[in-house]
Amino acid sequence: MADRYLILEDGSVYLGEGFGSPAVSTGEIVFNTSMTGYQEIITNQIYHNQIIAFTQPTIGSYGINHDSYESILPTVKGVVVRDVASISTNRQRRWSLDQYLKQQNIPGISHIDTRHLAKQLRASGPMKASIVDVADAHAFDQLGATVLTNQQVAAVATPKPFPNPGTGLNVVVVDFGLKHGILRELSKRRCNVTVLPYTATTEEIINLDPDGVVLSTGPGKPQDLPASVLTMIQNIQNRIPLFAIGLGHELFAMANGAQIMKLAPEHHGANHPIREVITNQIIYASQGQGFVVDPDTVDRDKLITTFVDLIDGTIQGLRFRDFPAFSVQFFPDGAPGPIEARDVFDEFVESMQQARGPVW
Amino acid sequence: MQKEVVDSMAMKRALTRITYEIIEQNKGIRDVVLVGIKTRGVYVAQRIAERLHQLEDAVIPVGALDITPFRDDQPQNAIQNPVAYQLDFSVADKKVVLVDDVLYTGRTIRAALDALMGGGRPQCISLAVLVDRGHRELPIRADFIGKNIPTASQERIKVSVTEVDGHDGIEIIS
Amino acid sequence: MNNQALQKVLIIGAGHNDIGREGQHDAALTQIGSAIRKLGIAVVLVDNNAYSVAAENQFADKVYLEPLTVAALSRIIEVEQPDALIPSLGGIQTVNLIQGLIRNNVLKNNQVRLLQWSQEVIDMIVNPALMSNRLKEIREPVIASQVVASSAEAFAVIRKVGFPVIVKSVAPRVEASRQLCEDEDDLEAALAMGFKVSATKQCIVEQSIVGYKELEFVAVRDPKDTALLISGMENFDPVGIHSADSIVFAPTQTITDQEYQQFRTATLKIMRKLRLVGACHVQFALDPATQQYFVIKVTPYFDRTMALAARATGYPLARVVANLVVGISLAEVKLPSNYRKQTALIEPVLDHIVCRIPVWPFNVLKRVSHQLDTVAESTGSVIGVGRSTEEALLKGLRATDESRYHVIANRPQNYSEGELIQRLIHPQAGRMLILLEALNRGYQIDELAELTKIDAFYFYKLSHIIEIEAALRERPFDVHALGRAKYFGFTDEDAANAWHADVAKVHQFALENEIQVTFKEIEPTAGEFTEQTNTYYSTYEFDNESRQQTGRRVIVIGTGANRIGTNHGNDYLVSQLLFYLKKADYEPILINANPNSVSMTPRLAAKRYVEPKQYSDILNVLAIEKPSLIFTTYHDYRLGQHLAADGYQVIQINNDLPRRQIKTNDSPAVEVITDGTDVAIFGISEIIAGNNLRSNVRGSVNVFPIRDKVENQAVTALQEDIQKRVLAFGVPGLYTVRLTIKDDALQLASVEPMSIAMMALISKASGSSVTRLLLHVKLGEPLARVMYDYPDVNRLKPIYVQANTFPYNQLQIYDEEEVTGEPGHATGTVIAHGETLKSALEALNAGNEDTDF
Repeated sequence: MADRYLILEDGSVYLGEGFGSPAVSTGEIVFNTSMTGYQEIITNQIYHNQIIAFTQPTIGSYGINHDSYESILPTVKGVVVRDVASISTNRQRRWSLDQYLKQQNIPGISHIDTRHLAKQLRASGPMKASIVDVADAHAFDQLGATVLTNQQVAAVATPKPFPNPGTGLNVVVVDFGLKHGILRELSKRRCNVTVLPYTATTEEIINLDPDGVVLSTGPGKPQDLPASVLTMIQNIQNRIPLFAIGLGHELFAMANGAQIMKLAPEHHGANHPIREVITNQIIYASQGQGFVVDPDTVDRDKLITTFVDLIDGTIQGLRFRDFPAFSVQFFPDGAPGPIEARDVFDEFVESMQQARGPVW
Repeated sequence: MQKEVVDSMAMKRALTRITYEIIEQNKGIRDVVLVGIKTRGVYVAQRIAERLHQLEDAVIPVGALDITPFRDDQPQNAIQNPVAYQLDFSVADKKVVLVDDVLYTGRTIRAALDALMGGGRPQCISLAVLVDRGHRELPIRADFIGKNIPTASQERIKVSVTEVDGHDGIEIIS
Repeated sequence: MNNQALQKVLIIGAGHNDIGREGQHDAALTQIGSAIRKLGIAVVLVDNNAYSVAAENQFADKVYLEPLTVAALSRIIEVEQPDALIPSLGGIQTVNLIQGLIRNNVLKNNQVRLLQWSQEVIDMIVNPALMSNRLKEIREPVIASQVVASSAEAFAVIRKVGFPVIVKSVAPRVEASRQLCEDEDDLEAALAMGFKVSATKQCIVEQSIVGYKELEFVAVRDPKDTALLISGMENFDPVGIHSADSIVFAPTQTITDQEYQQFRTATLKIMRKLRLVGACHVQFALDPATQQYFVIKVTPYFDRTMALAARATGYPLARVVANLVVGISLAEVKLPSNYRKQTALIEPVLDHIVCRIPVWPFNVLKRVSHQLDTVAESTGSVIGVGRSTEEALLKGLRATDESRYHVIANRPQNYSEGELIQRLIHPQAGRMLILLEALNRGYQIDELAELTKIDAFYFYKLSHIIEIEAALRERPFDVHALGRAKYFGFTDEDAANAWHADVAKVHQFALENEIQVTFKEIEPTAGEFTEQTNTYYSTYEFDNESRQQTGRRVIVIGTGANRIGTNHGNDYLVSQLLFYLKKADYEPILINANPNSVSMTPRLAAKRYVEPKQYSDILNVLAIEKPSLIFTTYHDYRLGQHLAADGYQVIQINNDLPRRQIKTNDSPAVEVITDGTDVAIFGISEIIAGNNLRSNVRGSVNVFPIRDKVENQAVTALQEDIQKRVLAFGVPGLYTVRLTIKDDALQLASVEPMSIAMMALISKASGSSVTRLLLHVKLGEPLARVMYDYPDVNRLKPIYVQANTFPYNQLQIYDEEEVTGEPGHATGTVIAHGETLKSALEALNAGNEDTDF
């Protein structure tokens, strides 16, 4: 395979070997420490326009599975690994990671000292990076000149409503670039889901007469979204049980007056202990966050902190005091990562049932 | 036959949700006191109090009521016992949350309301139960319900708490 | 749990080393004992392992070298009145003993609390059927297994679970094997045989999971119910080969996140439902086709897989468990400052790959079947750590120090096609060469995966290794080929071999072309946080993280794998050396690749390199550390000579001189130490025939000290002779001067280096570490300064006795010619003492009635 380079905004050059697509591409580079689930991570739209460096050294060892997608079309800008498993189509006729990235026009680069890269990014925070064929001045000029879009949600969220039918409670999911895990968990609980674009208005939501509303995960900075989103949340949260995840959580906090700030170092992995405040129990869950709720700006008369990251004390969950509206920063659906937080979905379902009253 | 209908995880969640709902409905926890009905209601009340403490860093008084002497369906109580006030704090001007494990006919709750009356006039009294199994014989409803479990009257609901039973869970015994 | 109340805890050790007991318990003991002491709780330790490091050096407040029997433990409990008992540090044997203590009401009568587990758990560990029932209750899938008394019943089972099944005889009167049945005919035959040999006329029919993937997960849980996964590991070999005999990778290599989370969830659930506090190891079988899994075994006590999980992740497992055991929660655990504050709570993630390779005794015990099956036969293991599967595997294979495992993949093997296929289907020790050979002969990967039930992923990796090596061969002194080969785990020696060149020349070529080794830290957060475990492995990448240790650096080359034979106590020696080097203000740096080794415990060495000890591997470390001294022991003599020739200051602790086989004939010997100028006598020892112990004993028994007047007087008379003979060696060290009776008088027979067994015996008998004395005379100090606290053994009351233990029963060796009881076959050593020789021998035998002496 051909020599290729990973170049970083700060002038660093890493020599490696290309795999996947031979395209030249640029994005913001982040590292992820998850031990398993490369496919889920690559297809998670929170990584839209980003280059993912995996610290787990061997990536691709079981190929691509039909039931491990977190979106239909991945939109990451690159995959950086120490070693890509060169399995060809194996017994189960899965695609190899290499083949898959070729299909999706995503370049990969292997033979990178990803441990060193991770330590570098830990110190610097995410920065722009490119996977290129030649690491010359021109490549750095190009990298420097590239302006990354701040309209990530618009690029990955559904433009049109679509249903995910079920026989149970009626749920509206507002899509900011959702990961499939959310729909999977709602399906398991038999919810009848309608996915609406992130531009959905209060009326459009209310007209569907939902038992509950979910604000989905998604990429980018919450401040880049139109203010109308916050208005919608403010209108919904005291009428219908609300559950917000990831970017949705950040928006829920903003809608209630809190401010969002850049998180350094970012969380991309599944190894942090997270304390559920009300029970004082510690759980583990997948995280992928570059932003965080500024705790000093949370109105304690309005919001209760429900989950806290024990590593850096960051807020991982909030709850509206007066109504059943709550949010988590982490990904309770796993995919990949621990699944012990999945019962947050049960909590949501039970809130909806309670709001509806007894069945007899 | 025993069938577990609520496991420890779900029971934990139900308690958590009730706690949040108590905060929602009382607009905070100021003046809130919890009164558990013996035996298991007291443990449920204590768990809710622990949760409120975790969230709000405040100590919520928890009282225990033994209502066996007051139940109108107990033959020996045909001649009404004198109602003695059992709590070591006053409920005057408090928002009392009465807590029990199972809500069934409503007679226990009625007796509990009687037993509370000796302690002054509360702001309000609300009712939290882990299970509502239906079959009410009095016009009583719960404000906070962990789980609605429709049952036949010959079935029994068994709520287990670690403190007494060694584990958490709710079972239907038929 | 209220840990205020805990003032004294009792720990029962694992006893002598054996197959399956490779030192991991003692390693855990040294760490947990000292960590608990730091919490202000007194530790009482009972063990009879002569090579226990924990039993020396103040790792416990009080040590009882007593038999591991219910009777002996009851007496100790009555005397010591401990508040509680830690059940998880002595393997299955300790669990059995605790069951005995419970049944005899010893714990209840003395108000001793059982820490970590309920009594119910003890019963479940001892009786797997109870465990299986409990797992079913909590809805964890277990293998369907049923006792049948007729064919009809057996076929009823088949209708439920389908073929294949395994048939075992219940209470067989002869050694009966497990029969794998694929169809009705197999089943009929197996049942006929099974019923015939069964004392109860019953068989067990069990669903066969042979060929499933085997996964091993290790987790911890605290008294507050917080639980986290330490590591998920994957066996290269499928179910059917005992996991101790299987190559194991950490982290898992071929399972999806869904499968991984399924196992993580099941492991934590089992710990929670069983309310296990501490660490737990759960083994699973996974049907690769359906994602369906079974729980094979739940092990809540320290075992080799926990040791591997700790070494692989760098998570301070033993230290954390010490806290959990006495009631401290994961959130409250305080770790040394080299770890980040919340490390106990961070679920470990790896950015390296660890490959564990077993080592078998078949080079010594030749008449035993080399077939790998469900019975563990390996005596030890080593790990290879790298940044790719290939590198980890090659380094692991190299660390076994067995040339026949060296992957010179393109060297043709002389098997016929039929033999090759037989060996693929019925694997034997060292199967890697067979797999490589098959690939070389053009077998297709999917075909091999089908034949061997090894995941295709590994065959891609093996093919890659073959490819790299072929490229290396084709292009002598090609920078790219060498760089690529080293990047994936090959060495200068491999290149020299491929190029028919001199190693030194290859080494020089690599350096000139800047193919330079880099070292990376083994730590539990994959670089996300700063953790300083001071444990490193080599790879060939961009960034080197190992900086030269400051202070007086000494490299100690570790033992490597636990092996059968005279050096099975070598790890004890190395651990002691590290301990006393540190005490003497040196900075000992260990090179070792044995995950079960006591010497790897963080407190002993100042820094660790988890590396093979091939010459070029050692050079890589030396280039960074530039030590003032290097210590080698036993069979690293040639390596030591090589390094000395390179100009390094090497101290060889070499007792590897040919030792006469002394089995019977009471033979006294004088045990001495010399600094090269003076000689001091420790005392007189004796080797007596093993059948003093009981009948059917193969080996001999060491006795120390002999206080017999006649012999002592004779030695006094011979003192000058002894001195002269020992000094003639000119090398400071420990020696055994054998005496012989000639014309009714004792005379000098021979002088030989003291065995490690004798060092351990004298150390334990005198309460003064002989290793420490040895170290100081080796460092050039005069005897007068070294021996100041050595006691007068003639005043010591008890007599100590020590015997080797052998693996004959375990390996099912009954061949009289093989069952010799020679020290070269030993896997462990038991120690005991008594007022008289007779009582000492009784103590030695107590609890060891079924041990091969």
